[in-house]
Amino acid sequence: MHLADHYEAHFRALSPKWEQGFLEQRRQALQALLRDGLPSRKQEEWRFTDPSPIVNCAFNPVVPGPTRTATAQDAQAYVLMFVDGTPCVTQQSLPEGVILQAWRDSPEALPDSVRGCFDVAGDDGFMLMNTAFLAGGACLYVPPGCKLAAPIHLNYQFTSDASSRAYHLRNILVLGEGAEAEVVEHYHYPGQGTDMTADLCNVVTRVALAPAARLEHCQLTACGRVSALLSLQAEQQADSCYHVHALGAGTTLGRQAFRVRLCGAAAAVELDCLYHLNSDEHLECRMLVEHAVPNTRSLQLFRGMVGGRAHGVFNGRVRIQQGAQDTDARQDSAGLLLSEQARVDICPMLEIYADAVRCSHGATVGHLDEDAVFYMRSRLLSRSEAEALLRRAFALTVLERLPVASRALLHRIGWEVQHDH
Amino acid sequence: MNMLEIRGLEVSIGDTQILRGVDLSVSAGEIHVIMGPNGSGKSTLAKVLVGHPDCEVSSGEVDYAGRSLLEMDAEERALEGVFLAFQNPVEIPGVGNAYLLKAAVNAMRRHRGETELDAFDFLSMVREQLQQVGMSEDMLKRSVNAGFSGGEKKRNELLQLALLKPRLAILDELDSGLDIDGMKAVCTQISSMHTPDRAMLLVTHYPRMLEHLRVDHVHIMSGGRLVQSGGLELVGHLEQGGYETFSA
Ligand SMILES: Nc1ncnc2c1ncn2[C@@H]1O[C@H](COP(=O)(O)OP(=O)(O)OP(=O)(O)O)[C@@H](O)[C@H]1O
Ligand SMILES: [Mg+2]
Repeated sequence: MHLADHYEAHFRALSPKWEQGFLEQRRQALQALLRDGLPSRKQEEWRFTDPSPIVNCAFNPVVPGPTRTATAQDAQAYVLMFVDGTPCVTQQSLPEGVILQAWRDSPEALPDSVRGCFDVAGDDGFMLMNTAFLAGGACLYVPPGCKLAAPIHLNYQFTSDASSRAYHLRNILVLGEGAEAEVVEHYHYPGQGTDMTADLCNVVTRVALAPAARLEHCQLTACGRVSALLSLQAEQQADSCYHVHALGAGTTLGRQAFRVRLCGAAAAVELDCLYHLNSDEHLECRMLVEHAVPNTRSLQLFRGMVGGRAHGVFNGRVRIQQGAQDTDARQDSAGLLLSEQARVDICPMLEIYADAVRCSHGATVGHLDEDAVFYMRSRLLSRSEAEALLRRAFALTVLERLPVASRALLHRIGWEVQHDH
Repeated sequence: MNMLEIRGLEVSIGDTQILRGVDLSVSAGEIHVIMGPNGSGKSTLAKVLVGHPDCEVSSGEVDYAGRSLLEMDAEERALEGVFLAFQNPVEIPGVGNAYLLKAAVNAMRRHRGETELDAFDFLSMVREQLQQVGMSEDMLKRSVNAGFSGGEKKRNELLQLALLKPRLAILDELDSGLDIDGMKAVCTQISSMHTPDRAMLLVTHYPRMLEHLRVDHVHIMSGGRLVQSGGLELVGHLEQGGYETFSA
C-alpha cells in the first residue's frame, strides 16, 4: 500500500474517536502532508540527517488510553507521567492558578493563553504529521508572578513491546509575566541494547514566556533504538530568561531542532546541548535563534561526545534582524571523538542584518588529550579511569550549568549513573 | 643492587633520534644530578623512564628494582614507585585537582594493600602537606594545573611528590620558576625523602639548589649522551667554563 494511503486510512479510522475541537486543524495538516510529503535529504534542512528510514516506514500512530491515576513517586517534583502515551495523573496540590494537565482535544478545556500556542511555525512534514495525528502531551501554565518551588517533571516512559509505533506528542509551556519555573521534559525508552527498531517519537514543544518570566528547561532523551524527532519552538517577551539544557544519550536516528525568537528587549536565551553517542547512532542538533528586537542576548553551547561509528551534527544558526542593535550572540561548540570512525560535523551560521552587534563563535573537534591521559596514568590512574575523567570534564561544561533542583531530580531518576556523564 | 640500571639507551621522538646511548646506574639512597644544555635530551630521558608514549626506544635496556622497566605500562611504573615531576605539567580543565590527588593516593594505597582514605582522612593528610609546600587549599578545588602560574604548577608537582613518596623520584627542573620559599620547600622535601630505600634523579640548571643537598653524582648530558660524570666539583667547572668544555 502506498504510504499516503496508509496515513489517510489511519486518519479515517482514528478521526471518529477524536473530539471535535481540533479536528479541522488535523484535517488541514493531513491535506498539506499528503500534498507536500515528508522531507528528504535533498532539502537543505535535512542535508545531514537522512530521514528516509523514517519516511519509508509505515508507522502506526498510537492512540493513548484513558487517563489513569498513579500514586506519587516523587515528593520533590510535580509529576505528569505518560506510559506509552497514556497519561498517569497523580494527586498533587499545585500552587493556585497553575495548570498542569495532559493534552485534550477540546480547546474549551484549556486556558486561552495555552490555546494560543497550538500553531507551530514551519510546515515541515513531520510537524504536519504531528498536528494531524496528535496523541497527547502536556500543557503547563504558570500564572503571572507565580514562582514554582519544585520542578515539573514531564515523564514520558515507553515500554518495549513495540512494533512500528509512532508517538506524536505536543507540549505547551506557558509562563505569565514574572513567573518562574523549572521543567524537566524526559523521554525514556528501555535499555539501549534492546532492539525496538522501528518506533518513532515525534515531539513538538511550544514555549511562550511573557515579560520577565524565567524558565529553566531540561530536555532529556534516552531513546535507545528508536527514531526521535524533537522540535522546540519558543517565543520570548521583554526581560524574559530562558535556559535550555538538552541532554541526550543514544538514539538510532535523532534530530533535535530548537527555534527561539527573542521578541522583547533584554530577553535572553541560553541553549545548552550535550550528547553522548555510540555504536551506529546519529544525532543532529539544530539551533536557530532569531534576534528580532534590539538589546537581546543569546548563547548556543554545544558539546557532542561521539564514539563507535556514530555521527553527531551541530547546526547552529543565529539570525540578527534589521534594527536589532546591541545584540549579543555567542556560540561555543565542541565535538569529542572517542573512536577513529566517529564523526562530528559543526556548522555555525550567522545571518546578521544589523550593524552594532557582538557575535562570537568557537568550534573545535578533537580526540581526548593524550598528554592529559598520560599525565594521569603517571599519577597512578588506569587508562580507562583517566579517559572517563576527561569525558566527564568535557560534559561538565554543560552539566555544571544545570539548575540545582533539576540536577537533584536527574540524580533521583539515575540519569548520571546511567549515562556516564 | 642498583635500583635503576640504564644500558645503551637510544630514544627517538618522531623521526629524530634524541638519546644516543645513555648508560646510568643509580643505587638506593643516592641522589644523582643531570645537567646539560637546552635540548640535550634531559627531559627525554626523564620521560622515557615513566613511559611517555612519544618516546620510542630503538635500543637499550632499563632495569628497575630487578624488573625490565620498558616492558611496564606507565601506570604500572607509577604504582611501583617511579615518579616524574614534569618540567611542563599539563593543564586538565574539568578534572578536579583534589580528585586526581585522592585517586592517586588511593591507587597507591590499594597497591600496597592498605585501606583507602575517605574524603575526610584524605583532606587532613593533604592539609599538612599543603602547608609544607606553601599552597593554599583553594588550589585543591581548582582543575588540575588549569590557569596555575608557572610556580604554582611546580608546587603542585611538589605536593604530588610529597603525597606519593615514590621510591625513584625524577625531578625535571622542579626548581625552575619557583620563588625562594618554593625552592626551600623543594630542598626540604628532597632532604626528607633522602632515605636509604629511595633514589632521586634531579635535572636542574641551577647549582644553587644543590648546595643544600647531599649529592652523590653529577652527570653532564650533551647531544643525547652523558658525556661526563663526577661529583659536585663538576658543577664548579661548569660555572667557570660553561658547557663548551664538555661537548660530546
Ligand atoms: N615531540 C617532539 N618532536 C620533535 N622534537 C622533539 C619533541 N620533543 C622533544 N624534541 C626535541 O628533542 C630534543 C631534546 O629535548 P629535551 O626536552 O629532552 O631537552 P632538555 O635537555 O630537557 O632541554 P631543556 O633544558 O631546555 O629542558 C630537543 O631538541 C627537542 O626539540
Ligand atoms: Mg627539559
